[in-house]
Amino acid sequence: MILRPIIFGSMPRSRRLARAISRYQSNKIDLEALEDTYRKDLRKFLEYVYTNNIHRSSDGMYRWDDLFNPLATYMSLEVDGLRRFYDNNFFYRQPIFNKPIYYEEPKISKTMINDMRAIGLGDKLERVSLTFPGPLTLIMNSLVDEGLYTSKIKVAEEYVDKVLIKELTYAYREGVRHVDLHEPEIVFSKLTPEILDLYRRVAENFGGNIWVIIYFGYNSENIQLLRKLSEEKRIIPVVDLVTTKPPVEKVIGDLRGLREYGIGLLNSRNTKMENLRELRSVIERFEKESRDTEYIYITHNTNLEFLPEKIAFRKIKLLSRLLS
Amino acid sequence: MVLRELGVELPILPTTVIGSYPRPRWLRHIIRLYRAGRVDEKVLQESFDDAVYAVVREQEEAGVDIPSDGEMRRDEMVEYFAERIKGFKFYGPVRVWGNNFFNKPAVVSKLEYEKPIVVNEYLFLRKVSTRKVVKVTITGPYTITDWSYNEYYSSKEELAFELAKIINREIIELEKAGALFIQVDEPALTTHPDEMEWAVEAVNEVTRGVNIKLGLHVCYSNYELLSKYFDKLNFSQFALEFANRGFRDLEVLKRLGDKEIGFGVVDVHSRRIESVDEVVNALNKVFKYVDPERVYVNPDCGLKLLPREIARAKLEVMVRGVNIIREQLKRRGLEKIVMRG
Repeated sequence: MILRPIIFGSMPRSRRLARAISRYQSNKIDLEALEDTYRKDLRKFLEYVYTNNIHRSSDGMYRWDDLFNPLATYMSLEVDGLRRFYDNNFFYRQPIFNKPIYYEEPKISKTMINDMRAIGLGDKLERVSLTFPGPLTLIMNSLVDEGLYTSKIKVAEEYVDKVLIKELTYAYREGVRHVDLHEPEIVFSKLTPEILDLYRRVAENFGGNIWVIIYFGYNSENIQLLRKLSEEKRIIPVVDLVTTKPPVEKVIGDLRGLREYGIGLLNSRNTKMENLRELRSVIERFEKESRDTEYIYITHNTNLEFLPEKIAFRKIKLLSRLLS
Repeated sequence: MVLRELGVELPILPTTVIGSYPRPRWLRHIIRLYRAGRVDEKVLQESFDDAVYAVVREQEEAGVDIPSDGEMRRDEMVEYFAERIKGFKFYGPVRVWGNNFFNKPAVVSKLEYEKPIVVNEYLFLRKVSTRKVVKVTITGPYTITDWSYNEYYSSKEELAFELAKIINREIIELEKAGALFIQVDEPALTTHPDEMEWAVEAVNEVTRGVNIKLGLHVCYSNYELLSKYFDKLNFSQFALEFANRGFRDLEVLKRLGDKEIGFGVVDVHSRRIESVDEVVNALNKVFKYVDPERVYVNPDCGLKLLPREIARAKLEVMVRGVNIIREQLKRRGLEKIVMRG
């Protein structure tokens, strides 16, 4: 069995970038200067990630305001007022599905790929993941016009068909091998056969790995459903071991038989640095009792963006030390 | 909890604010200069004082009966208290939404109350305002806990109770200084339903031994859940946001019992200025659930994110709406209430 450290999701937005965004919005700097700042932060993050031997990471999501934006705007959707993102003191703009999705081009992947090439890391595309909201999380955190869609699942289907597949097809062609679907909603809502079928469709349209990232809790029943699908498709579940502290033996049982899966061990919602010895003992239990598993990915439990920037970087370092 | 009359008479439907008010543009400029090291502490403090004069006058001119100091000295509701309680540390800002950040504190050692936190704010406000009653706002222990990192205490609950003791001491100091009306702000209170039982106990801890009027402000929250605890919470008034939710959920007020509502009638997240009719209609709606004698009127939440002229216009509309209803109530012989705590 091989243990690998990975990073997913959003990193804290730096003061420098925040200032640049604000100056761009008030016409004090041009787009080129803003782009330059985005890319400086991306380069700083990825260089740190590679220096610390992280197996794969997201692009830090520096261009995202929240999990749904700017994607909602790219889908030609309106966004409503601020809504709390689960139990966090963090808010997102709620997408409104009151007209059919119109998605002209794979803007998320194009932007990320261009950024990677612009900072001279085009050869590292296979180590960086594209991030999207999972279909379940998207529909459960959006407003849906019931006159237009007979059910929320119809929105999810349209999202997969018109957005995800288009993005993933382009991304794979350009060399991207990892896609992260953020699905915190799996903790709270039932994983229906329709949603599982959507994951299957996504996986069938992408030659690389689909990571289903689940955080803000643990839902054993849903994890077991996802495991069955993961056995047949290249879908890698990543689960949160911190928020509700599920019993380790229960998690091991739920994930048993999978070739690969991820466990979120570092707390991304607390500045306290974890004790490495304690974490290693948890990892050892997974190693000992998951003999059929080839890879266990060790990571943080949710977005690192919930931490101050310097602490987020320290946690990456800690993750690296944990497995060194 | 049995409410007592506190011997202070107010017009029926007393109008008030939740707390924050937009900082004048010049004050924001002075703060920037201070942070850049171009003006000293004395200039900054003088500017804060002047700003309090300006915004209290503005509230009073709009007709507000119970003004606040607009929280002119506070950048953020948790950060301000954490900076003044020993045991907190700041590692840097975290994003709350869009491009907006706050300095989320971390508890790194045992918390200690070193000296009064907002008593001087109250004393200055008392000097500036011409009104009988002014409002002082304090961030509650649960919200400070929920919006902080906990590196020291063994549980979130333990931290919340430690903070409750500190906030309680501060409220007692305010009472000694002459404050009559304190509002505890707990926007996070219903965020984790599984923690509500002990959260309510922690929030109640701040009221221990206090004999003045205490209100509790909870906004953008699950009021169905909150209302189940109206009776348990030792506060005489709940200041709640209703304009933003289109005056839905008013049924929860049936659970108020003898307690009062601080009724939010203007939306602080919208720049549209409500009409007087909207305020009148909102009040007529709330009277279906709460007698006028138990209604205070306020904006949904703090006004600080609005442009100043819009904040002021919203207060003026609020007061004009209240005055129309007061005329109607006068014909029923209802003109005054006695403040209760």
